[in-house]
Amino acid sequence: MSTFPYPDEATLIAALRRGEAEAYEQLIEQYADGVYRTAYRLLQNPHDAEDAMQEAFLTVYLRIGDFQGKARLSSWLYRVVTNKALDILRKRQRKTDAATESLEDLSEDAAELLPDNQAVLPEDWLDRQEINALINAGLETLSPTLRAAFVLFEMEALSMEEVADALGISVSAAKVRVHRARNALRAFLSRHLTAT
Amino acid sequence: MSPKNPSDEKLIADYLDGLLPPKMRAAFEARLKNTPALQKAVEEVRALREKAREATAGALPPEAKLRLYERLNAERARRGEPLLRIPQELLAQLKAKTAAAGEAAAEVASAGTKAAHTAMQAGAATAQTAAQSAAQTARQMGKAGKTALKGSADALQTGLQATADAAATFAETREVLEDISENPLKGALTAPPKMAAQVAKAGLQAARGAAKASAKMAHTGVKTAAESAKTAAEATKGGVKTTLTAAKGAAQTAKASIEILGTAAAGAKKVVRAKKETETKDTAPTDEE
Repeated sequence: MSTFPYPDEATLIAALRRGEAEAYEQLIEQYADGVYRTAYRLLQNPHDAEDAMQEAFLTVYLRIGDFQGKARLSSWLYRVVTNKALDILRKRQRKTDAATESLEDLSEDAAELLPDNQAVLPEDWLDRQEINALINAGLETLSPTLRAAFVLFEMEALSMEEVADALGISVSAAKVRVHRARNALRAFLSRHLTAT
Repeated sequence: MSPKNPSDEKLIADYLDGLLPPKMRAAFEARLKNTPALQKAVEEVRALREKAREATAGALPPEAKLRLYERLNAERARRGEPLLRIPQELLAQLKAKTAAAGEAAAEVASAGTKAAHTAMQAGAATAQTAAQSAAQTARQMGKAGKTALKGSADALQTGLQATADAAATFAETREVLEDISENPLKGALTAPPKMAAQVAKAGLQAARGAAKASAKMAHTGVKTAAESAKTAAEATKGGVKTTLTAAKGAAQTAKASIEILGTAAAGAKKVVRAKKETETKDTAPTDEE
């Protein structure tokens, strides 16, 4: 692993503000993979994911002067890419004619009736491909806001504070969204697995 | 066995999320140590999360990373700012991937050509077998036809001979009539029995001839039928041989198709391996363009 010229975020931000090429090279090397992955997990489309990623880095380049440094640089990057991805998702939803089932209306009571994790994980009779396809399908049924919270927290392993920051919401609101997304996904998996 | 306690589910989730306060975390870990069922439940949730991550993961393709550099450089060029250097590792990755993709494409093309050649050979072999069977069948049919013709000719000859014999016998009755004209009294007494005998003899000859001719025809028929049956059997045998040849050809073609798929898969692995190898190389970026 190569060492980066700017050892901490504060010096990196300062170099970015000065427009130093090396700072942007480091920014790309440090964050491009994660930003792309987040976009891809939200959008499940490589072209859209690339668009959202480019948008995120371009925003940092064009608006670094506005960044006050109160939040982490990574949070800002994730916020931009998430917002861009949500924009694309909303455009897709408006375009689609078929009704997409939103799982965020699942009540807590319904969630309590769900089988436990063991029933949701029938590893002895479902192969990897089918599980992957089901999980992706389940994610697609989440509303954009729940999906974003879930992807950032579960997939990108951001802290709850970073998720809140990226989404521009409070930490407790972020926790609620992640919890609702999990319940909705579990209900989806349970419904589809018991139906087979 | 998973705990069915809903509050345990929340505890597991918060534990894995790092959201348990220190005291609660310590208590949970102590309980975890002594409860195999709880350990299994925690592992299941961890595995599901891992599967979810893998299911939705999308690695940044090196081409996309290059385009990101190019996009930012386009903006920087507009502002007259120094351009970003594209890392040597990224360029090496792209070069290796292009080379691997080219190799893979060439291998797939070669496998495709081989499969096409196999299919052509199989088709030619099937056509040849079919032609040989058809020729054999024609020969057999010709042979059966010839047998029928010869038998019929024999039977005809037999019939004609019998008719000639019978005619000759009837001709002998003239002698009897001459006797009557020479000696009417003697002729009247002897002619009827003589004539009856002659007629009987002619009749017998004709009957024998007809029977013989019929027997010959029957024999010809049997022989022709046997020849035809042999022809039919040969044709069936030829058909089976053609089918087996076609099946062998199809199997060879299918094998060649599977080889193409295997070659394509190996090629794809090469491309991925090329990307991974260049990612792990410890190449420091240089100041060169």
